Amino acid sequence: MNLRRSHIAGLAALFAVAAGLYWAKIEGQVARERLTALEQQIHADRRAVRTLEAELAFLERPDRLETAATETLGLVPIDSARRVRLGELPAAIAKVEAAPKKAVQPTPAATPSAVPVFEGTTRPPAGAGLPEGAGQ
Amino acid sequence: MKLGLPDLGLDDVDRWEAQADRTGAGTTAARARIIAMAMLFIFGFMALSARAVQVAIFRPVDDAATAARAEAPLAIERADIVDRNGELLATTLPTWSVFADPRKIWDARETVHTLRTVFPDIDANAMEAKLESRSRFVWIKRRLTPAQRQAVWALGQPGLDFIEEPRRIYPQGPLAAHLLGWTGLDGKGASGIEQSLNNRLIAKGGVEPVRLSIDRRVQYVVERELETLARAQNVKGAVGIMMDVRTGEVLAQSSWPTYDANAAGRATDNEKFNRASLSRFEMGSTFKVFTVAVGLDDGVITPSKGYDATRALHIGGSTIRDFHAQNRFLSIQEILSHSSNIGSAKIALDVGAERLKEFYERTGLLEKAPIELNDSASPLLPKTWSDITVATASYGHGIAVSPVALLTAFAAVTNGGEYVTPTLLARTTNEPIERRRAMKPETSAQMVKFLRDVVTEGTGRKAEAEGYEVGGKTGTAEKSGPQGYDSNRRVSSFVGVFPSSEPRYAVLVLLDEPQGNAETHGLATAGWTAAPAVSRIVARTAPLLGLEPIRALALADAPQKAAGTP
Repeated sequence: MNLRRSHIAGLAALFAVAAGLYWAKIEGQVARERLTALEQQIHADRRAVRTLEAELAFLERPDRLETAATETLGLVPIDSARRVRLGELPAAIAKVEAAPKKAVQPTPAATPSAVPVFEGTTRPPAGAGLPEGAGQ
Repeated sequence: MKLGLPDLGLDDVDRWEAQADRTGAGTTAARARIIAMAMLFIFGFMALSARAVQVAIFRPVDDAATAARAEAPLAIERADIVDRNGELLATTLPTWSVFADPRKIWDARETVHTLRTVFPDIDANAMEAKLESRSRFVWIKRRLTPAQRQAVWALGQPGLDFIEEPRRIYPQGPLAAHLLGWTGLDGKGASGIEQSLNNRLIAKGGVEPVRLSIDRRVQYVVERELETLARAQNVKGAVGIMMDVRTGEVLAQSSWPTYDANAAGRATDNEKFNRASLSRFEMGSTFKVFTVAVGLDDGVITPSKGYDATRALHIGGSTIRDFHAQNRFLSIQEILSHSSNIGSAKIALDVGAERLKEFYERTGLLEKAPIELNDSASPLLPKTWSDITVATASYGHGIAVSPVALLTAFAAVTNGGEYVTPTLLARTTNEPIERRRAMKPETSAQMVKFLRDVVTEGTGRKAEAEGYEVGGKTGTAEKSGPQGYDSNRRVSSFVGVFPSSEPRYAVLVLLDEPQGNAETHGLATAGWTAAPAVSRIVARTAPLLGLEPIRALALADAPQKAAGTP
């Protein structure tokens, strides 16, 4: 009787171990396949990134940017006269304001539809007027 | 006797058993057979089960078979080349090539006809013949663009298929084409950096990009100005280089004429020739910089000393004259700013051949510039250093060096007196830089002052860029031909440094046989051709390099009341 019970228990354990092994193996297989799929995905994404980076570099070619900046936006290369430090800004604006009468007068009506040109220091941005008395 | 299995019909079994009961011996034999059969089945199934368990649990996983199901990855084994800021200059992209299997094509004529809507340059008759042949593989077109591939797909023709092939792409087109070089059909570098750093580009499967010292934006400005100038002056060739004098990093190196790096195969040899490193010129007056520097360094001359340049100098059978003849006593500063050959020859003779040669060696002028290119030219040197060769070498004749070697030596004169090994690769901050002393720091400081004077009041006035204190030297050399030096074939150059108060960058612009035009009053000398280009290059690149204009802005003349603002 005892012998029989232990036989059954042993057999059950054997089956359990076999089933467990089988399960583990299948799980491993599934994981491996998922890994392969992910690796493929990474690889494909990397290739897409490479291609897009090359396209970006192509679209950002300096000659293309220069053409766009000069012809579409009407920009010009910076020259040293257009550079002002933040601390020197009040003085720069004051200088512009001191001589606006002859320079700015004809512009409002004369250039309604012209390409917008940023003139740097010669035209202060709208609303950037100095507070009263700042020039004293 | 009954042998083998009886019919298994129930009635039959009953009858058979009933019969067996009646005959005892027959019953025993039948049971034995049944048991034997049963055992056979049990063992058979057990064997199958064991095998199933072995297969399902104990057999090792065949990784190769699993991987084979995955699409074979494309081996991109060549690293990208990027500029100092990481901007892409060269990369490898997968491209597709389309081929045909003629056996699967049912109408060659129609296939060719539809293919020609995508590739109009296909030779219809030749392709039709190929598609009707008995081969199994015919290239239609190699390395398609994605749009072309889509178009071929959309044709829906049977028998066409794609193969993946990597291709080297230069997204910036002609930018720095000479420097980057190109790769051959086998994918190996055949020129430029692609060739000289081939091993590094393929190391570690090409994962690590190679970072050059080039700044894409500076390179563009230099190329652009060079192109404009080269066309205006109708030159044979032109060179523009910019270098960081402290680190030896080349920020821009350009050669004109140039070509599109993506179509190197269609470029002529003349276009592909890298004049910046592979050409050699007698540089002319820019060499006076070195003559004066060595004189100062040895104490042979002092800033206050001068030389008599009233008469031409006769050495052996040769006569040395001045181009901008002043016919008077010239100070050292005037020898540079008026570019006096007589004065410079006299300094060199006072310094002596041995020392002059040693100085050239220290500034790297006697060797090929050690940049990372296979095509860097060795200088052409005089065979003997006699009085006349010393005298002519002092103003850049009888010795020919490459433009990049000249600029490297010039950097040594202006950076505090150290020869810094030039490089095309971006330096890392903690990397020790190979350098050697070429002259005293005081000599270098004095030279920068002299060079600044050349721009403020000498032959280089047109090189000034407001706010960036350009200093430099013009050089106009006559090229030697079969009948000696030819005054109609010149090499005009300007070598400059900025800002003079704290030298950071050196620039060289060199023109091979400029013709002069209305704008330069027909003059082809350096002061009228190369110097203005340097001015434009400095003005455009200095803001890109983060240099602040050095000057009391244009506010010095601002209204007095503004100056009092807190």
